Amino acid sequence: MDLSWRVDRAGDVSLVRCRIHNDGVAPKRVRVRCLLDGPVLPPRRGGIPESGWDADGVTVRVAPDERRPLGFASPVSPASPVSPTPSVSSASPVSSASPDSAVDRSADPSADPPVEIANVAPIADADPTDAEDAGTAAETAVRELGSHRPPRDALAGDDGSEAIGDPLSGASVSGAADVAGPAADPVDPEGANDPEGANDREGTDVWDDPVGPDRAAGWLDAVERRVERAERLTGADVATATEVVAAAGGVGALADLDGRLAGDATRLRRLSDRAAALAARADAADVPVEALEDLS
Amino acid sequence: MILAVAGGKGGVGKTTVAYNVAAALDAVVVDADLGMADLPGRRGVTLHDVLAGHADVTAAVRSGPVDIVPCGRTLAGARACDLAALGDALTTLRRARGPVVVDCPAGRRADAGVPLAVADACLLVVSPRAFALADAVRTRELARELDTGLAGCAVNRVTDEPPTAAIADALGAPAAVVPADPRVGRSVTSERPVVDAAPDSAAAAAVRELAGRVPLG
Repeated sequence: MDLSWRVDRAGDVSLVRCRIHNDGVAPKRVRVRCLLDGPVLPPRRGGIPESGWDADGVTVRVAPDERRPLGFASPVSPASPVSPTPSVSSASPVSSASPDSAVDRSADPSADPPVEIANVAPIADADPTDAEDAGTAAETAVRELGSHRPPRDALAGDDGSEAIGDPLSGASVSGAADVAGPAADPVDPEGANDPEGANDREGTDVWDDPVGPDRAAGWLDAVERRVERAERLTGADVATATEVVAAAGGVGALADLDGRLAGDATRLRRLSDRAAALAARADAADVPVEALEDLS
Repeated sequence: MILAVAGGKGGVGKTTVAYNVAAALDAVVVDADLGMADLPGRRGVTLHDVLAGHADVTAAVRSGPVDIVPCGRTLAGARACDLAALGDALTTLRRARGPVVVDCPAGRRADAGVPLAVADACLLVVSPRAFALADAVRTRELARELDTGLAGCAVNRVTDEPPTAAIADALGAPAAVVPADPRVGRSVTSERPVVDAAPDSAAAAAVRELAGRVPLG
């Protein structure tokens, strides 16, 4: 059984790619254990981990001469050293002259392996217990079928109070992004570098459109960025002012910042008044749903 | 027994069939249409709360002529649902309350597939129109992929003599004909199942026939 691996670091996450090769003549059940400090973040579909994965690693069935690719992520503390060295190693019980084990001899022995083969067990083809544990039927169906979740944009106009502080996991957010596309992102990621474009978009489109809580939050974030920029420029020394102007892409980009902030202040006061009035009305209103149902 | 009532297409009467078959089986009916709930019950704990992990399923049962687990009405609630929790919820409900009938949403996405996957058997509802049959056949395929047996199918809201044999042949299960009857249409909103409101009607006989096909043991 050969194991080769490679670790790449992306931000605070290690991305581990490995491949196991069964060079024997019988199918094997192989346990690959993660040796990194952080937890294993397994591959997921529809928010459900792929079958065989758990908190420490993965157990897979590998057919004779099959090369099985595996990959996972693991968060690392920012302080830990980066060691993106690709390496290849070979593990017992069987090692042969496969290409992997040939590379093994020239591998860097100093790199700590991120994974190890913890166990190799033979399995019979007819053994009914050899199937990888696919989890519950519900998990399998969630993995295989399209997400049921209405896109985040559809929440505008809905009673979307739950949408603030979205309880959803990362995977479900990506599912929504499939449907919603880039226009759904209420906060322009370029906003910090492109105040003109970002301001134009956030100042008109979002405000004039039907505003859901997420969009309102995006607009408030944009206003906050403008206010912070203005605050840094208020009574600033030359060094700070130069820095802010450079970050904004020139004086031209800041020329109408004052005017925008005046507009922001007016809108915020109007929003505050209206929000308070609506909250009071929402508290006072009571819909007799049960009675209405009797009418229909 | 957990019975999924599915049908592929919307508007063919899945909810009506689920509610009335649940009445005939003395079962709890669960509204699993997370995005477009149909069964009555807007107040109190709903399936959204259960699948978001905020409540136990037994707390969501709303007593009535047929006990109902209603579904929430908000899209935000639908987004917050973890469908992987549905299997445990339905199993818990079956242990506590006996047979469970699940009213499934239309389509072939996870919200339609998961109830089928966790059910012991399913009933397909089809309207006597060719375009509806195509969707029912696709749902039949989905049930087959998910290893859920087909207990029978209901040809719903029949006015003329439908091609029952052709439908049964296409779906691979015996088809019961539920004739168009206003008492069936009203049964859900008025919470008067047709087996109680009009026990001698042809519709009630069809509902009993469907219920009789469900393997309760």
